Amino acid sequence: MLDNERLGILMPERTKQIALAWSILRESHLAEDAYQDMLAKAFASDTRFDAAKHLRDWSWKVLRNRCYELLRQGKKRATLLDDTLLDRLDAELQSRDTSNFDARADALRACLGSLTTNARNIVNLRFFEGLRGNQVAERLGRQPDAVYKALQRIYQTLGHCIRSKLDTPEPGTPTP
Amino acid sequence: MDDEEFHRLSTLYLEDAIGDTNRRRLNHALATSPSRIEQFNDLRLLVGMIHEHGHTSAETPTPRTLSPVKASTPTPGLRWLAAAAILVLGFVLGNTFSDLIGTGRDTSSQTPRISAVQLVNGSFESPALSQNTGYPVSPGLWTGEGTGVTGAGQKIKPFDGKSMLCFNLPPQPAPRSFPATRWQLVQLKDLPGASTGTNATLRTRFNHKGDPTPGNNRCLIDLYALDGPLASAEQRLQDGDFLSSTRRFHVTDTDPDTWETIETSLAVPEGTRFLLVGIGGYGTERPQPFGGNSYVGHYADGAELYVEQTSP
Repeated sequence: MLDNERLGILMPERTKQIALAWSILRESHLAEDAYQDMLAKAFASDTRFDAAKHLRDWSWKVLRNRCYELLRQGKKRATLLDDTLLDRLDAELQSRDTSNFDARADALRACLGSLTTNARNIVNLRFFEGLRGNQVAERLGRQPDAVYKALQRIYQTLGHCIRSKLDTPEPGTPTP
Repeated sequence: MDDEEFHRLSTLYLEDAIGDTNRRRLNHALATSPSRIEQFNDLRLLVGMIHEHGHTSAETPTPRTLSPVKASTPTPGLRWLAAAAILVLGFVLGNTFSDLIGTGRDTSSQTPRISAVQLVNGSFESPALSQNTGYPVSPGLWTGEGTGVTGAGQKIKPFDGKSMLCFNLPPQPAPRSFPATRWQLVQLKDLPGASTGTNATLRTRFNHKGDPTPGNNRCLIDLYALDGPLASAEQRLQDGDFLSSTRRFHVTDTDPDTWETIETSLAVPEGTRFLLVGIGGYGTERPQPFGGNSYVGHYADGAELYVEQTSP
């Protein structure tokens, strides 16, 4: 299988796999590193991937292992759900259809614009400055619980907004 | 468990701030309800999407801005001359550079706070970047790849001096983590109080030639705190074995006439012996499967590191 073929199979999985890595490592740049390590391994691997599914399954397994390896190397004690439950969760995540992810991404961008300035700052600090929740709180002079609560509200607001935009096509968009 | 509580626990879990009792409650809720599994994965996907596509242009409040300490910090030009002199001396004597750096640092015990300029060639006036493409193995050199030193060009003038760092890596066949990054190690061993309340702040200026392609003007700065012997620094970084780190992403504007100043700060943990500074291009917002990332068009200049004591 050529490199371009491998990439073409793996790229649609990227958002789901970043979600997996983030939920284990809880840091944007560590999640990105884990993902890139997996990708590099996919290109360097001598494994013969007979089918797209084989490569996809392999990539999820390698990424998950790399995340746990990074946790160990960073000497971090992350709280995780039970192993059997994580398997079920990850299997459901892996099975998700990615065909509407571009529309979701567009909706997300629009929805982020409707957040308050404070909420957008929290998003930027948490996701793009790489601060953990307690560090965001320190930066903003707030209690960690207040930041966790704010993140919960942000996620709920964005979730509702994205669903609403996906359910309501823009004027002029042909409906099936 | 109602929806509100489920969302609360799920958020706490993703923040790694969930206690054991609540972890068990969340575990139970998920294990007994397929719809909760879907809801939880909706949240995970949302988080992944924010990581991928969520960069907003909201201004991040900076609680304090360090002012360069004029009394102890030479002007950029003088700083470059001092750094160049140290660089040459370092080569001649075979010593590490940071051991020698006294210029720009006020170590007087009379000074309540120390703000030190320690980066060698931080304004990229010297074209002598290291050929080592990996992490540095000694302080005082810019290692890395995908970058070079250049003069004014593409409508961009250097922030200070006559030269600047340009990101010149052509589009890559496959996305890599940070193929266009320059790294420099800074030794902290002779800074008094480094273990008793010290903040390190990295400040760098970025510019972009104005490529209108969305997401193609993203860059970042990194600051890592490391302990242990210098000889093992590279391995420790590769293993992710560092004391602390901070990263700041930035999306440059499309105006080549303006340099944007980006800062990130780190509370230096006890035991830190080295700081690692990284300046990188981050390529496209979404890796392009067949075109690869391009970092061409980014410029950086005026990199400064300040180390400030916050307690005596």
